[in-house]
Amino acid sequence: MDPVKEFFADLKSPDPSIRFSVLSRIEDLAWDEQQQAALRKLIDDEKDPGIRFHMQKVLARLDQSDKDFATASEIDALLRQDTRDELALALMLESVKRADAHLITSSLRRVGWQNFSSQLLPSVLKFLKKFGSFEDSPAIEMLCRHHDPRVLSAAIEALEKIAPDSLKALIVPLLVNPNFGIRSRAVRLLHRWDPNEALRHFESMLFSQIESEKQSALFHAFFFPFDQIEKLLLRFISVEKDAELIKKAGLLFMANPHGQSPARLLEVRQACVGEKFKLIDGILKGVLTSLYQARIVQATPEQMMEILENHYRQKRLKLFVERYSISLHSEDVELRFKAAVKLCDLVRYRVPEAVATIEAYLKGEENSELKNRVSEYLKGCRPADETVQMPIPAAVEEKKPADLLNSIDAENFARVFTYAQSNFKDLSVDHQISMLKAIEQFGRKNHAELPGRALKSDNSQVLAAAIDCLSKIDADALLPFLPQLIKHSSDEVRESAIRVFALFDKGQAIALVEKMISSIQPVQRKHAILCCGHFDFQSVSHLVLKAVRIEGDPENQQQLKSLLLASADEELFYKVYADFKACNTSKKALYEEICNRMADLISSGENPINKQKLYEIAIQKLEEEEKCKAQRDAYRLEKIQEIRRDTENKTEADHGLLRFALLAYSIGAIITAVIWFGFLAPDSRKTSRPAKNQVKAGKTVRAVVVKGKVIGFEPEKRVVIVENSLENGKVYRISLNSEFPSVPETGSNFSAQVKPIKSGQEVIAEIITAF
Amino acid sequence: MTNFSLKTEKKDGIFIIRSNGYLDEKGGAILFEALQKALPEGYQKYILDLTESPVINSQGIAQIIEISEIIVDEKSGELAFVGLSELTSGVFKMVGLLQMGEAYPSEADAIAIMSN
Repeated sequence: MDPVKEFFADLKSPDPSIRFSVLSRIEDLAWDEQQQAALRKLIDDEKDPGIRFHMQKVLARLDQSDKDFATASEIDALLRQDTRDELALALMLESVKRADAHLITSSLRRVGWQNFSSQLLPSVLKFLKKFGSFEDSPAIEMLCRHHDPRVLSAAIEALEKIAPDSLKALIVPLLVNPNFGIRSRAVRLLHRWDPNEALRHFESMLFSQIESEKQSALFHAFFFPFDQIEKLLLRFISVEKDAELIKKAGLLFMANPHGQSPARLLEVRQACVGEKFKLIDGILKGVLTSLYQARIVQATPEQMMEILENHYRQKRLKLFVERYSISLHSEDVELRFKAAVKLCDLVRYRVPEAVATIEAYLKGEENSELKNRVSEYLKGCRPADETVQMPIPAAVEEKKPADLLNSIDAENFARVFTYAQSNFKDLSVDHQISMLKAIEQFGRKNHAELPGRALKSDNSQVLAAAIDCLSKIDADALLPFLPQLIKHSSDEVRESAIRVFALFDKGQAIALVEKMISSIQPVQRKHAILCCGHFDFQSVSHLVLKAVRIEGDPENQQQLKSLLLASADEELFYKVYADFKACNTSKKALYEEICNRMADLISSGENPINKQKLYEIAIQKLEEEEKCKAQRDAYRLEKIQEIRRDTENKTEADHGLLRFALLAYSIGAIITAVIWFGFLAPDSRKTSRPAKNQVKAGKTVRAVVVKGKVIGFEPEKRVVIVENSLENGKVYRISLNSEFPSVPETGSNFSAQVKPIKSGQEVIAEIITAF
Repeated sequence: MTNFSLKTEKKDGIFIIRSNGYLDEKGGAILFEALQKALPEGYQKYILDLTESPVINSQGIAQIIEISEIIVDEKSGELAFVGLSELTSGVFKMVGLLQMGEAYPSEADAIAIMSN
């Protein structure tokens, strides 16, 4: 795109920070007369005085035929005038000779530059950043509390250069600043003396419900050591739905390639479908290309991908077998049967570990009835060439489809499927399950009608099998049923449904799992843990660690241990070790065992680190954390969030609902609505209660998200009429403030948070923030 | 192990730095050192040719930002980037480096503009 055209496009952005930031890249552009005229027109339309001043400065610079240096005496003379020309002063400060700089700084100090207008201050601060000294720092410090984000931002930059230590005392006001750019900059500064707490702030911004806050976090992500934020970014791309934000995060992975990230990205990719799968695949391929181009690996991206995919398959199978092997030792006969069935299903796919495990289990199973049930089921799972063949092949041919239900293979699948289509209701539960498993293995999207019917079954095992089957061959067909399935009385069905729901909205699926993890019923917790095993580990690692802290059931503890060990790496080890040190209960032994096993795995892995060294680093990290804790009270994330909440109390927006509204727009309002109101929404009785410190007479203002097409506009009144797609096309008549340089025209997209003033056929509203 | 190296050239009053290899923390330090040697010589125009460094990591980026600030902000000089890969171009845009210096497809293009 033509840089001048791009510049003009950005100058029409509704976001004033974007309009302001583009002005700084104007210097090197070549302008013709027509473009200069267009800039003059934009200045007339600009409502923000700070931006207008900066635009005028740019235009004045373009009008200057040559770039003469401004002398100290010229500037001094200008400063002495009572009604000085601010535009001229700003321009002069940009063209100062180094030799004159100290004289100009003295003149500026003499006239009390810090009291200049908000428009002029950024130019002075830019000058002081270049030529100022420690003597200027008290005045600059004062401006680090300025209300105008442009002045504030320029003041921070100048102080960071002149007296960086002074910023330490300003960290709290900077962290609570309503401007996300300032906040994320403060987090970056905080990282200098308390990296762990800074990373918690960074995490909170990255997983914010507000897009611009996430944008700010991603912008500053380049200034953090990548190894410290990689796991957060993995979780981010795993749960985030906005393609542009995912792409931005992807740049960080591609620019910082290292041996372990492809495997982690592959795990995230495998837990996605559709467009998201393609996006993560693009990032993964980009990282593989970077590894090759940076000469970190010799293998080509294609070779690497093949190795990775094989490795991933092996890892998942191992985890799967291990997970159900644990349940084979359960005291509950039904649980043992279900685990055995899962392992038998793997026999269909010729997984040797599953065959060995199930055969060993059958030898030791003392319950003869259960043993027979499993043996019978296993028969139907063995691939045809592994079963004992009948001496006369013709005999097989003569078998009716009904007799083949226990031995469906690729060859007879079509015949048995046709039979099952007409007789599914009359089949036994075991045969229904066998058929569904076979469709899962051999079927395609055109076979989805039968498992779709099975979703109405009263039998939870059949239901779970139908969900598993559809998730493989036609996941979209499951979407309308998910709200019911997620609240099904059977834990098994719920587990399968959540797993599928995660493909469409991982954030909410994780929220559901988190609820289940805190359940008082061990079986529910077990299913939550099994769900975690189906997600990419980084998106649920925090839940797994939390679960270990609260889990008391020995079988569940073993499942959690298995999950942690399957994803063992240094960072996870340090986290588990910190929990081990903090634990004062009988669970200490479990932690100790996990730490030891994990240390063994890491010290014998691909990038080994000595076991003793690993423990030494863990101890050192804990000591550093202890030191920081003492000074952390003022800027602790929770404390800062409390201050922000107090400040924001005047406009109480339901952030949970806000997030819901945005999600609903993207994945289908009804499903998300049902799931939201059924499971995740806070109790309305609690939320409607006024806050303790709320103004007595103050009426609570509820913000509404409006997203849709503009159906009309009244430029003279600065009013836009929008059909809100989040509320079935409800019409909003919205008054715009100066953030909008021009009123959006009919047909354009509109998305903003608004404050309703009056309800009726049309809702009268005022804009709060445009997205 | 990755290898990073760089070559410099002085041409028409412009100081050209050509990097080769993965530009990480070490590469960034080498780059910074090269610039510090050039600064006392009074050069005002710099070209950073990154054609042979298609991958630059976060620490490398941080070093380039520092270098750009010295050249553009402190010394009021000019800086041009040459041979940006698709990846580095995206990253430079994201972190605001393209506001500090202009990107050109080749050294010849950059020299032609800077010499005017």
